[in-house]
Amino acid sequence: MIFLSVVALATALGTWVLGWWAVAIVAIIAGAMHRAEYGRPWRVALGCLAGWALLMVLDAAVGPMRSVATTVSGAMNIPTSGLLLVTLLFPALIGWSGATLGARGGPSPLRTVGTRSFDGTSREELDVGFPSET
Amino acid sequence: MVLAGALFVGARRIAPAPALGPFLDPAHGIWSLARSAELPRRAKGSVINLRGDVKVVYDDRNVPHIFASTEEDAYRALGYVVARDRLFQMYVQTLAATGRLSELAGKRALPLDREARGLGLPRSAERKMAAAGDTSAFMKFAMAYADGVNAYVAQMSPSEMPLEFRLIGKTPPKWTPIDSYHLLNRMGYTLAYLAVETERAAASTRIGARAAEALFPDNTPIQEPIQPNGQHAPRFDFHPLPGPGAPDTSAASLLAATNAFLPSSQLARADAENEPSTYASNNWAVSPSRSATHHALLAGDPHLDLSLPSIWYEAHLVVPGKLDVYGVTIPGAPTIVIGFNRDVAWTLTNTGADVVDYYAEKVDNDVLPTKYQVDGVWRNLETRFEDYRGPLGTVIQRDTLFFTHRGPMRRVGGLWVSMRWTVLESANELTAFYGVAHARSAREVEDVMAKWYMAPAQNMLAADRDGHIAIQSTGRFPIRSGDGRGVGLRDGSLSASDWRGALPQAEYPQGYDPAQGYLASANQQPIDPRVAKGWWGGSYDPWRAMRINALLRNDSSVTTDAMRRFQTDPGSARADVFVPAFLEAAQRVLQHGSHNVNLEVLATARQLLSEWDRRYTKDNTRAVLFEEAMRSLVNHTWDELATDPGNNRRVATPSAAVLAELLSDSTSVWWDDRSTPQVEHRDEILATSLAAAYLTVRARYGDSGGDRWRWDKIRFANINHLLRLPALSALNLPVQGGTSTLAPSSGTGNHGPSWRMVVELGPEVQAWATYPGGQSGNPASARYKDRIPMWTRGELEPIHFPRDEKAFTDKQRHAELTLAPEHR
Repeated sequence: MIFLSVVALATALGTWVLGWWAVAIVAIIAGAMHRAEYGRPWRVALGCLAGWALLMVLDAAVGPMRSVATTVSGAMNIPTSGLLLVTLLFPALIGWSGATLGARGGPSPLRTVGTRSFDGTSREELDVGFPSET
Repeated sequence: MVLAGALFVGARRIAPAPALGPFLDPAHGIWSLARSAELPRRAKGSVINLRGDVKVVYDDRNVPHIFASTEEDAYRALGYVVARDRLFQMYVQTLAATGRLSELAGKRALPLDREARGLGLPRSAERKMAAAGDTSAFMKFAMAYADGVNAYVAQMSPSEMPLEFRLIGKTPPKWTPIDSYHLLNRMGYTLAYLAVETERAAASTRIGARAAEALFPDNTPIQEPIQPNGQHAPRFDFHPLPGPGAPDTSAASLLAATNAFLPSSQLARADAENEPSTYASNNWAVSPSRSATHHALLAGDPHLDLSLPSIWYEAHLVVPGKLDVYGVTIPGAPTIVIGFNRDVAWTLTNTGADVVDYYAEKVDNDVLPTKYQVDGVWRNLETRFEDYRGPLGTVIQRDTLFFTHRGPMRRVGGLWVSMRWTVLESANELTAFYGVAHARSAREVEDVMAKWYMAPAQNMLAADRDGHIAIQSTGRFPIRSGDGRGVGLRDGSLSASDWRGALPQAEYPQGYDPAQGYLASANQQPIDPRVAKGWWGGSYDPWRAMRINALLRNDSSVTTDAMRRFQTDPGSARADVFVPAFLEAAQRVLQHGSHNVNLEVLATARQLLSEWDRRYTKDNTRAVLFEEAMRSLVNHTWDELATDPGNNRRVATPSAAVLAELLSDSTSVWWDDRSTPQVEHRDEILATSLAAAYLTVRARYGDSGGDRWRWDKIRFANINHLLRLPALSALNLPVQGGTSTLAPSSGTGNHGPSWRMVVELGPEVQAWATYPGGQSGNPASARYKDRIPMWTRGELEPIHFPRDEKAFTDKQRHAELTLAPEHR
């Protein structure tokens, strides 16, 4: 959960400051840091999606988001739900693929210590970020 | 691979889809439009060259009230706030005016672009700009306006980038003063290029010159001119129309020439209607002697193509002690076009005079000319190369254009033909509007216009606080050689064929505090031909003028609310003429019988039409029958002008006023339907048309008993977005009004009242207004089309006209913007 939140916040912040392509950077870094862990790319994808969703919530808090959604989807001749789906799946796709790439080229699977994982799920040991060269 | 693919579609536009990354990005992309949909309560900006701070208060109708210390600062702020709300509209209008729409829409826009450049519109703007000089009033304010536009573009946040730019993958270009000239030329193109000469020539090729002259006359057969003629009713100058003669082959050259130059949009409009159609507008003013409050009243109601965002943008400019003007501007034009100040109100309708002539030129080389001859002397042609670019910037077409001293020249058939058109010539329209904004009386408005304003010719109506009302048809009206008429193909090799000057102001059609106590114009003939000294030509519609004159004649105590109601009055002078004609003809045919008409059907149709009160109200169920009967009547009557036998498309269609003239001659040969062996007379054609209309309407909408014949289920206003995207448009809007009513509703519904204004010139000027759209150009904004419901109901909103910013109540104060000087 913490990992997801961190990725989401990093994605939101990166997008706000740098632009959409920050999603790829966040995803690659997140993937590289946890390259061997099973299921990690999907979690990065989810985090990236959550990051953009968070930004959309912020947009909705200050403006007529429903109107924007219907207007834009109408202009593009696609369903509003389709536009929403594409908007959320796009960072997820970048997140997943970026994390997968990062996992291949980044540090080796991390050594774990302790009994709880970084993101709070039950594990034998906690990641500390050292390469497991053995 | 997946990441590369995602990044590729994120970064690259794959038309028609935009680049997905920046488009979907919730911080800077489309979703961020939500953050800029409404104006922030308080905002700040800066503009280069600003002399001092400018305060802009947006009222509860989202109208910016600009309080500046100099006039130039006021126009800088105007540029800023207009760009803030209408940036994409400014961009598209500039593309259209400069013949660069293909950069947006590709090859399909090429015909429009070639037409705009072929007419010489961009060249004309460049020449006008050069002639104006850097120190002219226009340049001073146009440059200030450009400062404001460009300051906004430079400072706007990513979330403020208009949706349309995102969809097309473009960014707003820098605004330059010449763009304002382009815009004015575009208005001229829209308003001052009329098809009447083409129609007359086209008709000549079918029915001969004499008949064509009669069916497309210089003077409309129903006279109730703008300049009061002392009569208290319309005058019907009806004469028997000469029958069709042998085709006039000499008209073919003129027809080819006018078709070659004629804007395609005008042709499409002429073709879309059953009678010639021009841009229509109404205005009228009432003297204190006939107003309920004993103050002068003025109503403005220009009719134009309806679009979203609207062509108009409402604004108020205040420079203490110097300027206090309220009204509507066209985004891109650094001026208030229609409006009022503390002393006087003004509004315009199109004059419609013939201000275009064609010349057959003698050139040195028939294939690639370099010179043309005038009075035996060869003159150099100006040559101009035009590149047309597509959306990707590649050249998709290249044209070589030629210009004589008269204007653009092109090869038409075996001839080289040049064109002279007032719109292309040097002018100071914006200087005129600056002068009008400062005017203190109705007289001064007319004098300023006469001094500076050239094209497109307008009927400028004004009323002032001293109770004076005035109207003047203003523009450059050419004086021609020979018979003075601007028809036919003139001999370009003779300087004697050139215009000899322009009509002086004293001879403009005009009226000032007339005895009748009111003035009205609705695109009717400006001056009674019995007193006119010059030739006007042009295209005029008498029906709306007849109606508004009747309403004003019958009300000796006009209120501002009556002025408002008149603007959407459902009555129709056209129906008042034709409905009795249908009913009486049908009655006679029912009495005497006919081989051509099913009498039972005719009796039913007659009964249904007789139930109509001739008012195009939304809930009336008979206007549909009348309109179909009129369509059928036109088809039956003008079959001689059909493009092919049995075809309802015609080379040209005479006006309904000429058709009314024909009604007075029951045995005219024009009534004969050439597709039948017998010779028909008026009554049979009217009866046949009515019966046929009933069958058509019944087949289309069912029996007359239900509500499927209701007008608001049949005739709509359609306000299209500039990119014609249905989701951003307002379509199928039920409105009161029909063909030739004061709020005309055309077949497509794309044309209509674009700004309605009523002003009372009392001790404190009061005004009410609305337009079909909203102040914001952001389709996600609640202000994008918030005024449309009010517009469809024919209602107006009271206008805030404060003397200073402190006069706003908290409720009226919707948002604020402070502009400060930008220091480099």
